[in-house]
Amino acid sequence: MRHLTLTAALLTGTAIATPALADGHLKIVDEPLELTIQMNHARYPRYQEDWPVEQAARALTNIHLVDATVGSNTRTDENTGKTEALNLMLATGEIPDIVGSSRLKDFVNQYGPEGAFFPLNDLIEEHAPNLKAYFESRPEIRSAISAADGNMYYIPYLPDGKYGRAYFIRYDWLETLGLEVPETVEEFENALRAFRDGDPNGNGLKDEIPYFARQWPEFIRLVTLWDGRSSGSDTYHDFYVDDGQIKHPYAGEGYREGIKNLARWYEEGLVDTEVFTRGSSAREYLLSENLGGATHDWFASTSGYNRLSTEIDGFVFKAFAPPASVSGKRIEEHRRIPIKPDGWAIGYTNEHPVETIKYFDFWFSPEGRRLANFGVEGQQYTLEDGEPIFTDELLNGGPVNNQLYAVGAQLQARGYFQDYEYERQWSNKFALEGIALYDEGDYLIDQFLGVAFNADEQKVYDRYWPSIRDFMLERQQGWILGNGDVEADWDGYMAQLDSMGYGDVLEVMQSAYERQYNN
Amino acid sequence: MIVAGIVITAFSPSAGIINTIIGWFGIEPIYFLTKPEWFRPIFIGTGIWQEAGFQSIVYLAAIAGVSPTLYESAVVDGASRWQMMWRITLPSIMSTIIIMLIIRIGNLLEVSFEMVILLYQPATYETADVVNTYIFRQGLQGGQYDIAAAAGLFNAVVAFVLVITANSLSKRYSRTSLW
Amino acid sequence: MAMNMNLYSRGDRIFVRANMVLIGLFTLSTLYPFIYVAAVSFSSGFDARAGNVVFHPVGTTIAAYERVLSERMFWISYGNTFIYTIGGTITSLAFLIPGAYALSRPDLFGRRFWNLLVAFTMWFNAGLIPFFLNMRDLGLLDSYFGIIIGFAVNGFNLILLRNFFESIPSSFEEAARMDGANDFQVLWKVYVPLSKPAIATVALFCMVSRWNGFFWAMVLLRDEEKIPLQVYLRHTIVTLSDDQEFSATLLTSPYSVETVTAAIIVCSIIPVLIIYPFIQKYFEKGILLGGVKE
Repeated sequence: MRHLTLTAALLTGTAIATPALADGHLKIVDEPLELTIQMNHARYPRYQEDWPVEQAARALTNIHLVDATVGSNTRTDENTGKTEALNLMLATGEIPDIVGSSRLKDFVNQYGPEGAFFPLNDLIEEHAPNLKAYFESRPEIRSAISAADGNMYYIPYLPDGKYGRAYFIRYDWLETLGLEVPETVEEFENALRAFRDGDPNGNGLKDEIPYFARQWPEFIRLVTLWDGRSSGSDTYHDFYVDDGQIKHPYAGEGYREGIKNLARWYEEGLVDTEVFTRGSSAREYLLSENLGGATHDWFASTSGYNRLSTEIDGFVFKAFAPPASVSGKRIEEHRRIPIKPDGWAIGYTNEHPVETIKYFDFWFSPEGRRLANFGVEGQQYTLEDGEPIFTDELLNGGPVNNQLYAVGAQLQARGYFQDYEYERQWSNKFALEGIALYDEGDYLIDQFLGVAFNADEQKVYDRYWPSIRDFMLERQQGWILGNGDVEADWDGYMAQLDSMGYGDVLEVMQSAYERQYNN
Repeated sequence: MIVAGIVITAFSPSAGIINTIIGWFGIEPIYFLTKPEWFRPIFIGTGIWQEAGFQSIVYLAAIAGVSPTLYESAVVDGASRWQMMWRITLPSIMSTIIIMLIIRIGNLLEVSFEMVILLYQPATYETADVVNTYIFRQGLQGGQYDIAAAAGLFNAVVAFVLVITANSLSKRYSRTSLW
Repeated sequence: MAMNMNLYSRGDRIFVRANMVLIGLFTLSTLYPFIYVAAVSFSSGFDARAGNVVFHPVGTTIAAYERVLSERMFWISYGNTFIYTIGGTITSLAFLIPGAYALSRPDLFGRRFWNLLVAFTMWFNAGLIPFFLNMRDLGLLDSYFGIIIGFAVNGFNLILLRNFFESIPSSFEEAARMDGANDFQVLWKVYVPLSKPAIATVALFCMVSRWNGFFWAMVLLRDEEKIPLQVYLRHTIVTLSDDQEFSATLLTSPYSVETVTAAIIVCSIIPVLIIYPFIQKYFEKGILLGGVKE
């Protein structure tokens, strides 16, 4: 029955297709059309029809989104990815015309092939020129969001801006100690050692903490300085792709070498002893107390700490280029993910799938993209030489993104393509300086965008992977804390991985990867 | 969450009160939260500390219900406080203690999941993992609700078997029972 | 109390003092989280985040309170919490007291079965979605009534109260029966007055769980105007942590997610602190004694 309705809806939808966008204006329908929407995001309990951005989109497209959110007070848990509200929605048996949510990908890729959501490939091909052009220019994105059956079931939120985290160091401390900005791993180590011994904060105590991190995997990330890897994506401990082959970072030679040296650093006190438990307050505490020397953290927020120069004389905490590894490679392993599991999809009972995909397409048109990124012209921004520039009122009125969320822009449970320009206009100058430095050296490496398993592959993965991962992390932390020696343990470690099914996991990863990205 | 933060701070090697105190006795700071052998004492201690207040209210109510005449006649017989506690108070609230015990036994598997998640580290998995946290990591990729649901039911069945056992033992030896 | 002093021998006095010291220390340690939260709520956002707060506010400011108290939703959700707590506790007691009485009767038909059924619910429940659908089909979604009635009876409280009722000597009831009292009169005139500490305990548990409860309110309510304080608290934490992650203003803002959270917690604890002494008087001794004298 479900499939029957779906086909019927598709047919009727195709029959009434009108070439609205081709005419050069953005009206999708002549008479206002109401579509219901479920929207869940940590920030938005539901879709608000009085958002100025929604009002502007109505005026432009004649499509009116009407809130029909179930479980609007349950928030998708960003840490566990639990999508309670989506499950409730499914349980009620009434899927609204449009479903927008954070963490939508796994949900639609599971229930889409079962018939709960429209496959979007043909709809995009026939009715959505902007989306089509986008996916043609970025085929890897298309591959990455596809379900195991090869269909796309949602339009993602696509973050813009390449840079995420970077190496930061106290430039003023380097100067005090007569050191240059470290260019290699040896120089980095020397700088950290000098921080430890040279009392750069000048209080007469040996209390400096040379390297610290808010998240301990940012300490493990330093294995890249010995040509190891710590993750292939912006999720910690993820697989990576090396020349078409899927590998896991924690089974590589460079990783072994890296861990050996990081254990030494930890033992010598070059790294915060409490790196595993200090947590999110590490940056505030260690920087404001004039104790922390270097870290690896987000460009934008970390640069903000240069405000401390009003309290700590000479304080300069700026990004520096990734030090060259032992083999002379300079890489920045972390970058912003180009694609999020957030976005929106079309529910199977939607009677207007064509209008809906056109509406989705609208947000990828120049006008729609501007609306999604900058808000409403004359309210949040003005056009200068065709470029949107935020008003002073907005730039000086508190956190910019907050103000944009409040009007329905930068709505990340909406499928849209972010414009980095929106962020650049209110970025800290130190951050922009650092980004320019990283741009110059081109240190970023390609990311692993994930795979969609078929049922058999999923079974193998679920059966073996979680315990392997636990084992890897357990050993990793043990080695760092001096509980065992990585050199001595390595062969046993690798043998243990094999006996736990590591080979089988790589095999299913590889087959899923090839299916998804090689056609 | 706040309690976990306090515990992490208290056991911190650099600034924590525990390490400061053992420092007075000349003991080197210990990074307690990464030591598998320390996880259980810390976790259990925290649990007792956190729940003692709530639990004691039940016993307070039970003790308040003990007839004062019993104590008065005990005094006449020359009983000491200690004897009164053993001979009067404890027997009088025994049924409450047993009921609470049986219920706690039923909650054996429901150890404070969030607390473990907040306090454990890969290095302490071996002593810190409980069924729920293990399941949590197993299901981490892609929200596997079926596993979580099956595990929940399994937990409930085990808990109920434990309760039935405890209850029948209690009924035999103390005539107190949940049903 | 004067008479009680005679109870103490010298050895007893040492025993009591040692007890008082131990209990005092323990109480202080359990009081610490509250002191900590209160201190954080009056600290500057930066110091709270940096972990500089131990016993007293650092960089003292009332910015977090200004922010909390100026939000309209705070007051609405605060009001809702009172409705859920008061309405919920009264409703719960209205079900729990007669329920526990019935379950405590040796002559109740199928007594073991009913008690087993109650105990069963303590470990088995249908889970989120079936319960949600059930509430939906009963038309109880998105209503105060649904939240209040849907969680009125809790197995633990019912069994606890039943256990207290069972411990009341049957001589009291027999005397009342001789005077021709029926079950309702026995319950009202004998059991309820004799079980004041127990009822107070159960009432306290109901209140606390209502006061702290958020999960079902989150799932069953759609209208933001009906959410309780705890749901609002969670919303605030999510929104503010998000701001902090992205916003460049985090260093200059006088409050932070930590201080605002602490301020909301302090505000939410105040009514509990006010109410507790009124409940505590029911824990005093001598209630059974009073019963005998009447």
